[in-house]
Amino acid sequence: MKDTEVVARLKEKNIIASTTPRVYGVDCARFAPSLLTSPSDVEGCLRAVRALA
Amino acid sequence: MRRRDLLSGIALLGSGVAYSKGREVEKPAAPPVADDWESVRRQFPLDRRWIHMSQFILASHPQPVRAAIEAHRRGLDENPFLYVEENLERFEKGTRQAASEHLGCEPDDLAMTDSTTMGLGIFYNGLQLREGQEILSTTHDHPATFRALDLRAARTGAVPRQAWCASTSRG
Repeated sequence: MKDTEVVARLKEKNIIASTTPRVYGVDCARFAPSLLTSPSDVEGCLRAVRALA
Repeated sequence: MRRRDLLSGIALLGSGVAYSKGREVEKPAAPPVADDWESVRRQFPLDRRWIHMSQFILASHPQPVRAAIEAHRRGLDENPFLYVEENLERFEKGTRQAASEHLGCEPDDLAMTDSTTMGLGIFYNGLQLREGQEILSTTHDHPATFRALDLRAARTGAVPRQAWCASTSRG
């Protein structure tokens, strides 16, 4: 699955992820937690990623 | 109804910012409590229906920052010239002073730029390079680094190179 599709699928589940800049040489979907990220946010992301597999 | 739609007529207290009388401002969130992280999160009006995992790209502002932005916006709208003339030096000095206290350096060690991209451009273009010298970055660096190094190389005859950094497992 392409990184852009991963991001699009996560967005359908109300998760804002992003893709690495194309110049990085490897295209990845990425989660960037911040000081506002809660443990339940992380759990939600993990569940969503598992559901993609 | 979104939070920013909830305007109240009271002036912000304790923000250190003077407001004109009778202006409607956002009702401030309760101040954060040190041992209650949720009270810190409440300073940010993020839409809680979403899980936000890209805040490093564009970040939400906490309540005191929104209040300051609003105060500056009003000052600039009400008297653009005077607001800048009377405040610019004080604000810039104050910003560098606060940043220097946070970083543990002198205010004059710090320069303010409009963006990280601008800062990288100034920094990289200050590198003293000779023709044929290599500038090494990695494939994981930001495009702003690549562009600035390419430009510096073009002006000095140095050669930009990128090293591929594969993910390595720890331990």
